[in-house]
Amino acid sequence: MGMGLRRPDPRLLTSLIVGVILAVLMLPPLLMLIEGSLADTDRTGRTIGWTLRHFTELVTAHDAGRTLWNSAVFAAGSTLLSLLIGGALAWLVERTNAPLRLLAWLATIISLGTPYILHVVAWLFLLGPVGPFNDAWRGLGGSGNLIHVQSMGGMILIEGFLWSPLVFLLLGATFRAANADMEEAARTAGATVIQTIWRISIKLAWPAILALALFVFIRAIGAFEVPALVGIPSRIYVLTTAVYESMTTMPPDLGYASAFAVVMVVIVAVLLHYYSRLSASAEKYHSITGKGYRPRPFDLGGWRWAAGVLILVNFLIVLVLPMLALLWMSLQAFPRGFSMAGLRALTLANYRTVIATPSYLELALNSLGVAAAAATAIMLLAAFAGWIAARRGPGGRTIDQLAMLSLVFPGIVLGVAVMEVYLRVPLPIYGTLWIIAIAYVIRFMPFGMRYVYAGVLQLHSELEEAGAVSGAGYLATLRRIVAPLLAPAMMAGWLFIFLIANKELAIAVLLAGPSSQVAAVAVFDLWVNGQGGELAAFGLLWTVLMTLVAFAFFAQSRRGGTDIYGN
Amino acid sequence: MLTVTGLTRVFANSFDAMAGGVREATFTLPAGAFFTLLGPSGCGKTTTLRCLAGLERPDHGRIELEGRVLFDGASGTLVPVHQRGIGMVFQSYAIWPHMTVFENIAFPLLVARARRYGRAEITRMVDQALATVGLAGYGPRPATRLSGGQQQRVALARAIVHQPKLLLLDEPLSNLDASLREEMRTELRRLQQQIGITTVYVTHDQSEALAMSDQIAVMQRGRIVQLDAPRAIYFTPANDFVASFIGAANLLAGTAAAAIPPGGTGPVRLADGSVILCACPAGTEAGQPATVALRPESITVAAAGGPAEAGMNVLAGRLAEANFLGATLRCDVEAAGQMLHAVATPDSVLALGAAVHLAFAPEAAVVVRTAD
Repeated sequence: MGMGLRRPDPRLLTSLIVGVILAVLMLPPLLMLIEGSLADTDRTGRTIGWTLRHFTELVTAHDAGRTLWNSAVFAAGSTLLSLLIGGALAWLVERTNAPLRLLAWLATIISLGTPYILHVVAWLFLLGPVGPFNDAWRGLGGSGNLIHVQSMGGMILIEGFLWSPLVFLLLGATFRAANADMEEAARTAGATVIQTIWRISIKLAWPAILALALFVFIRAIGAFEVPALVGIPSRIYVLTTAVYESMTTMPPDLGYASAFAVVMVVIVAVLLHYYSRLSASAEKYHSITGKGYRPRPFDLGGWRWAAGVLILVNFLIVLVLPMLALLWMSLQAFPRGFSMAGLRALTLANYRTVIATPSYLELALNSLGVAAAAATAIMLLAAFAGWIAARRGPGGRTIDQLAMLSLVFPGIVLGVAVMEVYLRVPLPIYGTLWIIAIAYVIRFMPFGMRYVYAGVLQLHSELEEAGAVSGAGYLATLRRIVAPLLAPAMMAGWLFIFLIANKELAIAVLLAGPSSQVAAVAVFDLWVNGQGGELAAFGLLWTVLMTLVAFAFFAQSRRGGTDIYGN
Repeated sequence: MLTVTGLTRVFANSFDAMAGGVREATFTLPAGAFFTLLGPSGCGKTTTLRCLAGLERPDHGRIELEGRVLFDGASGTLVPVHQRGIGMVFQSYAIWPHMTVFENIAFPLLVARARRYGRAEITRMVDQALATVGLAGYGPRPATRLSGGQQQRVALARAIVHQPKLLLLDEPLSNLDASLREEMRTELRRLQQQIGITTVYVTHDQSEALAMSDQIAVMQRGRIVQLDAPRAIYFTPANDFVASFIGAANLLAGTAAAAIPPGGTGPVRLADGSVILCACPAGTEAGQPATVALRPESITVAAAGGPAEAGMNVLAGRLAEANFLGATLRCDVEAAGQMLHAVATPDSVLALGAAVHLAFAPEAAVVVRTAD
């Protein structure tokens, strides 16, 4: 052509656009957080200078050491517990011929659809003063309460139960992908079953187990539901609840909250660094498996039924018991323990209220709408970002790092950061659903990336090259070849994000205004207001709906042949 | 000595049309024999091997190794895999990535229950096994830093380090490059001869089987259809399946023109009416249908009209296709009403479409049973 402007390279242009969008989303929260932690403000909140005061005050005025220690104990304890439960279950289900394996899946799917906060509420009831355990203790002649759920022990127990389904899911994938030849080679070399499990199976899975442990630890550091509902009443503060408290007291102490948040971000960033190194070494173990791979379960022989009982017990604890508790609470006019009197006083009043009150419907629609919008935006953006990163397109590394940046934000921290950003940006979205949607997009972007990235890696790049050779341009290749082939992975990613967006409380709890409530926050408010019955009724209905979505997610993952990523 | 009698393991949950498993496998191996189970995928060869290893529980039958009953369906005896004292090389090698080469090979000694090995003894035995497979000095290396060929050797060293009575090899060469595969083929055979260990080898590669084995069992759909020395398998295939699986023989349909005594030679009338002399190991009555197996390399291709050698069968045909392969010229010839493959010398000059003569000795045309 030789004249005028050359058409810009579409690859470069795409990278540029995607990069800018990601930068605008991801960078301001981090920067504002750092600025907030260093800014010296006057009474009106105007910045008047820079100071390290907030950080020094963490130690001097706020007992940060104690809070840090609580966080560490809480995260370590619940990580250990969930790994023990979820890991044992994953091994039994994936690598043995134990019966009742379907129950473990059922519990996992339903728990993926249940908001964390509902589980916590159910366990608070079960282990609380009027719960069946303490009831039984008194019935046996004990006095007072056997279990004091409002304690560090109670927090660890409930958080451990909360995370065990995800551990099951992720370790299950590790065990499933394990090459059975490795174990059989040990058996033919003369090792007993126990020796094989100890010297081969566990050692082979060890890097993956360690990586997962670190991952759960990171998530537990950022966990909000359990520390808020179980810890705050007994004045056991961890980092997340300390941030929450300082934001909800009047006036909110933004500097202090930001300083604490920065501390958390630094901790999480360091842990994430080690996590990615651990994951890489787990991958290395993985790559040595050759062809001839067939999944072959261990024959447990006579132990089969013992294993089956273990699976059943887990099913009861993780799923049946909490759901029963919620059902009981929802059918009672006022909170009381399991009893004959309560059985006679069953009422559907709570359900009637929930269905009749228009605000509940509005609430449900709000939640679904925000989650769907966020999931859609993420998957659209991730489709480009993930593809550029996986195919090492221009700026691929930077785009990848930008998209994964929000992994350093625990939910509550992101809430603070997003709030700070949009208080200053002259956009009238503060206190609307929009700000929650934006926070979701930032928070869950990494999940979208993982699904797309893995999906692209499954596609041989020759498929795209063949498209180009056939004469398809850049956009035509993307639209006609990449997009249709990526569709299953994108669908699975969408459903996953939709599910967790509706499950987490921590992000929305600081951002939700009176007219922009979402389900998890509403449940939290009902709990704080002591409306346990309505909470349980609404929560159960919500769980049924979300469980349907969770089933759709698993069906989609299975049909599309996509792996499940929760990390 | 390994004695296997009536070994059966049938899989109930075969989703494929082909039901997997092995039926009524019976064979006896003298000590030190190299025995190959050969067949296409899904024929039951790997199932047989896994039954020998104890990784699969047979439905019935009997396995006896050096006078010790490993499995007996009648009495319910089942020695678990780790007490069988065997060595096995897996198709994927199954080198444990969390151990060094030394630790991988030392493993069978560490978990041995018959006797306890001292540290010095283990070091000596592992070093010896490493030297045997040509990897002396590789002990400290992490298992993740090995090439495919090296992994294969480590797997082999691990399988022989505890001096087992039986060595099981599950397609150990199938993951290697072509050139490395040939080298390892010779090497494996040499090693096996050197150690003198009874070996059961599973493969679907007929040239591997022919080159390495003392005895070959050809399997088809779960059954052993022929058990013989390599030469016998090649030159007198038991049925049309063996003939076509080994060496891709031409199969010609015809009828016996006269009765042929077992092991004798006699006339067979082909579909187009021409009559050829064939060897018939099993013998046949006149008028019975007869399938003749004829190897491409046994056929001489010449331009029509040349002098015919006495005592040879000659079929007239037309050259349909000729592929120059360097060492040979591969010809497709239309003759006797079908397409026959033949191998000519590379310097033959033959025009496509030309009339040619196919000449072959009566012993090269073998009447085989037809598998159902």
